[in-house]
Amino acid sequence: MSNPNILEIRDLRVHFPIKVGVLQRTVGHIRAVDGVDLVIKKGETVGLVGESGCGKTTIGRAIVRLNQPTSGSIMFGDQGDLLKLHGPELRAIRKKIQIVFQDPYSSLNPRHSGKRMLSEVLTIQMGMGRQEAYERMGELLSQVGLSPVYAHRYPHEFSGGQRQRIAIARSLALEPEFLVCDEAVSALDVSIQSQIINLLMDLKSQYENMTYLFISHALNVVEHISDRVAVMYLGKIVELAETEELFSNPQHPYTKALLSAIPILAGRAKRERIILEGEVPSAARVPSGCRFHTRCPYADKSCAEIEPEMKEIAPGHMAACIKI
Amino acid sequence: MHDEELLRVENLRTYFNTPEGVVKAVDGVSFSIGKGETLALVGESGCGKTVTSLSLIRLLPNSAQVEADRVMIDGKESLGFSAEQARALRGKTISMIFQEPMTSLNPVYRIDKQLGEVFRLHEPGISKAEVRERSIAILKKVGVPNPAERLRSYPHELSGGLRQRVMIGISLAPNPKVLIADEPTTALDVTIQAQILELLKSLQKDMGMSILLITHDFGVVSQIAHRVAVMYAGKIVEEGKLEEIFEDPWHPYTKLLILSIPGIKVTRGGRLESIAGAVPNPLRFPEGCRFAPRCPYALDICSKEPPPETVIGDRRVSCYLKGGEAK
Repeated sequence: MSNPNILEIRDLRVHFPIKVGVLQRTVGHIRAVDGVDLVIKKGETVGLVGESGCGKTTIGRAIVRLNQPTSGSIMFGDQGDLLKLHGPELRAIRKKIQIVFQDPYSSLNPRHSGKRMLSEVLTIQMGMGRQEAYERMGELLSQVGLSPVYAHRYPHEFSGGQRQRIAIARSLALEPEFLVCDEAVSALDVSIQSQIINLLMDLKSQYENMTYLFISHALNVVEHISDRVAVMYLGKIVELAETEELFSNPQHPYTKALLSAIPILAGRAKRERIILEGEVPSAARVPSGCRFHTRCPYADKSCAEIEPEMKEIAPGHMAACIKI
Repeated sequence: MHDEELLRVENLRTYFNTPEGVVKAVDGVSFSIGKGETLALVGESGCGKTVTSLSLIRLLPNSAQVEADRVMIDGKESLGFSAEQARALRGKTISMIFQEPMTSLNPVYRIDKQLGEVFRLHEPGISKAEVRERSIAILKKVGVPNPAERLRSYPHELSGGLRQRVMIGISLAPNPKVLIADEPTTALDVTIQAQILELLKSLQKDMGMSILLITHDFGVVSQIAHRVAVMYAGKIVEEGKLEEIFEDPWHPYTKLLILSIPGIKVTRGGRLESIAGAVPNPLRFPEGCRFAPRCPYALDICSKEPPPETVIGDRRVSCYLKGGEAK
């Protein structure tokens, strides 16, 4: 893809202090994100997968500045480092980067009707007059597949899928260039989930060059929607490749295990099953060397000592494992 | 596989009386499970799959009216059981694991107390040492590392996967003949889900129990089910062997559901099928076929009269098209 980069994450670290006692002494850190590099091109859909606690949501929240990273940088287009922006500059850039959360029931204000939520965004943020805002609202609603008559309803009057559509419409109202979808379809029933996935894919053609960071633990959904996929384990990206390449030719042992854990659906080639032992270690006590060595079926002594670097093993295919 | 039938349910109806009217959560459900067999009851939220299982194990509130033509568990008619008789049934004959192991374990008691209770209840007068020995044995069986140490843990000290293993241990401690697993892996990560499903499979092989698996996840179904029954709006619309349901679904609902999940039939980037409209309000189910208002293949008759059940071999489907047009 020859498109310019829209987002460049460099050595991002987000550590949360662990505080104890009345004096709130810091006794350690949860290293939720611990040195992540990720470059996303304009118009791309990048999937970010991993198990709970691997730090994928923390990256999404860092991009929209809902948490304060410890170090690193996030360059957004030609706007400079997102992490150095404050006040009005930050507010201006937030229009361009939006996020859709997992549970629309808790991300929508229960006391605001759909109309109020959308018109507030359009009049205050986009500076539209009432008439213009009203017309744009109808347009937005039909884009997300809702009839404009629904605008007067409150969140509790919508079904789960409709609520997620309102949340997406609200993000789109700002005409963002970059949309972070954090488990945006995970709470929905399969038939509704498919509607929202189709919607997100359609929006790409309607909003030219819309870029998605699609965070999810549902590997089949990520495979379906993404151009490239990054696999995270315990705060680090362990493998990154184009979707087809990653799913057909995984290299990192963790990716292999993760993919083999997707229930093999009938009609698909049988994969070698790798059942991982044990569970993800705590991000407060990250293992030495390769973080995955405690569960890795191929690990030996050197894995506990050397921290593997991401290296390119095929064009565009990066993995961090000393055994490759 | 049908040589010995451990569970047989005929025409189960579970209704709830609410101020707005009668909610027919389960409305005429029949199925049977053989020894060592796993039947998956699949459907979207609100289709009545959990209410079906709670009706069988008698854990519904008194406001629920449970009726059936027949409920045979391990060869015994259990329909008119009193609360006392139902309590005797639970544990040794039929047992259940729930979705959220954090909420089904008691947070203020250690594991030894919660697990030991099962043995003390089923064998009054059992010695302390015996309880401890058996608790350790069952934890070992469900794959809990350092079982003796874990007995002293509180639920919050265990990870989600371990909690679910403990929960499975508690359910299996009395050696039940039928195990109901209600979304046993929904709250877990995929690698842990794979571990738990593998565990259930090997325990089934060991103990020969029958499993009624309740889930919305076709992936989980494909892992451990032998047969699949698809539920929609309180009724089973289709039942068949796992491969038959995936490869050649007869009911339009099953077909659309399978086509709406990425990774089964639809290739990457392709258009997913979606089902127009929403699940009907259980207070006002449509006359005729309950899926008719959303069905792209519906005929005139579909919205007038409920379709009869067609049985062909060990498959059944409730649809006028019987899979003919819907293919």
